[in-house]
Amino acid sequence: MKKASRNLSLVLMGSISLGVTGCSSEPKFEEEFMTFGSVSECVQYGGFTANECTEMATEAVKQTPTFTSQAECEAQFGEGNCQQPEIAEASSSEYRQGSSWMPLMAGYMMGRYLSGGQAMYGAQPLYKGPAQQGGTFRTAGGATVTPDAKGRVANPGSTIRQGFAHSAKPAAVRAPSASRGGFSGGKSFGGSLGS
Amino acid sequence: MNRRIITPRPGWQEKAERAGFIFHHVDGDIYWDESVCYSFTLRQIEDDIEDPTQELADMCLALVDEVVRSDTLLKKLAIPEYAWNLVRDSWKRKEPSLYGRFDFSYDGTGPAKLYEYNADTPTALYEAALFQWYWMEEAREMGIIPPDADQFNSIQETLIRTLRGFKVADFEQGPMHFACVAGSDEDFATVHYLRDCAVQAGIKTIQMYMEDIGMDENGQLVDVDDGAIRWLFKLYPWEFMIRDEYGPGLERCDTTFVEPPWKMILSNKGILPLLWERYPGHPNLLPAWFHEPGKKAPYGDYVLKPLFSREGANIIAFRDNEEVFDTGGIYGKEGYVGQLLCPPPNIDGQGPVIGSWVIGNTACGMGIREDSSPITGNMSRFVPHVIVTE
Repeated sequence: MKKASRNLSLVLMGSISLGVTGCSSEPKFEEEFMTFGSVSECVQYGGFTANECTEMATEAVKQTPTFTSQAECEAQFGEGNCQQPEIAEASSSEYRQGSSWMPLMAGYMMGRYLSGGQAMYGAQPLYKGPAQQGGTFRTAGGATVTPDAKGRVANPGSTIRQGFAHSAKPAAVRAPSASRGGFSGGKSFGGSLGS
Repeated sequence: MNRRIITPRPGWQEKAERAGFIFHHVDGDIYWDESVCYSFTLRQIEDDIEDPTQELADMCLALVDEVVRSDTLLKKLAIPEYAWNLVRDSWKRKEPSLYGRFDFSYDGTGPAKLYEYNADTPTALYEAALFQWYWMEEAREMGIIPPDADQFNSIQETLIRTLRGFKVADFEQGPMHFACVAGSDEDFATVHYLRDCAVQAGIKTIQMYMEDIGMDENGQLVDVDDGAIRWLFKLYPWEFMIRDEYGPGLERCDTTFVEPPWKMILSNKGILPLLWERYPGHPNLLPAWFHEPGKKAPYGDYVLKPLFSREGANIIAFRDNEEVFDTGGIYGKEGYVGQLLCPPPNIDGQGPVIGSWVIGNTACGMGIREDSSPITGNMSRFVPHVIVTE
């Protein structure tokens, strides 16, 4: 009598990607654009669901441009602002082979906005802004992003808006009657809550 | 029980990723390590791991039945009074448990000794239940392990059978929601895996984050689409759930939780002294007591563990009553239990800890994590095991 099962299979695991599939309904909201230094900042902000925060952080990382040399990267993103991803990371599918230099991400920007009458949300990576303008970021496309003290970006221009197009998805509207986020105490502990 | 150095399968990382094992490395360090495996005899597995696991699982259920009837014991376990009805009702209603993991010290000879019971939010499940099994199947074919090598592992089929037994689909009670906190790949993948098992059990599923759960005006839990959450698998500890904003209202909501509220009793380290009091000298238990600050411990070599803690945090070890290390962390304000010091066996400089799974109250498999430090924390590596003929 064997102690191990004879046959096992999986139906969902092979298609795992971080973030749960979203959901959509009729739009009814104001546009908002926010900069975040991390996923947890985004979750704590509360304007996006934790799922949107996680999913869009992954999307933002994917959009980071890669360069074949340090010089090329620094020419665009400034001296000392580029890195070579570690070998372990470089082998993962997120990075294109042979393109080994990337700008250091400073955070990401989430947007909820109207595009062609349709409510969308999306994200793009942010990098350190021009040195002479403290507190600013720049996008992959080179636009300068100037958030207020709370991270909010008022009325961004079309160059910044276009940066959301790669990851944009129809936005969900949550019912105003229900409260949200009543389970989050464990959040401050960070990392895995398994044991 | 032997630790064997073996050849990793070429391309195992890609195989892992294809199978959804996204945390085979954690923060750049290897987590799944198939350059090593542990081999056991069938007698070791059945007599020393499987039977004791089943016996302990039954002892634990008997303990819950006693604790729910006693205000004194509920207080002793630092369960807040407003949650007592929630715990008691879930036990009275026989709300089903899906899973739990006993952690043992075992070196192949004497009886396995229970370190603790991860009864509420155990992880290291997917790698034990599925990826370890995939490895065995392939390693056998490749001649890495003997062709008749076996494994103590019917975890996944028992998960599916147990989930089917929940009858979620009956009376239009589905779907079942599966939730964890955002930010941990390991937790996300574990929940995704359990969801996979639920789908195989014929259950409709929705995965979400704990932070996205809402409560409507009737005090019912709802998902992102405002759909009712009737069944919720939560990889989120009960001690946090009840202390969160929604905690006090859970008694009135109609959601059936997995694990159920009565698991609050068993995920508490206070069960270690309670078990020892009820079964003194039991071969699989270590002497344990409720720690009282300022009072001398009954042994010189011991560890203090917080009533609530995860990933080996806040464990303080003493030798000859002198503190030798403290793993540090944020737990411990609810009190500590003491337990006789019992370091894991030292095999090639590694301390393996056996994680023995109880699914639907059936002992059905195990996984091993090894670590060169004395406490199994979240930096340990998962290594596969086999059963070989003597």
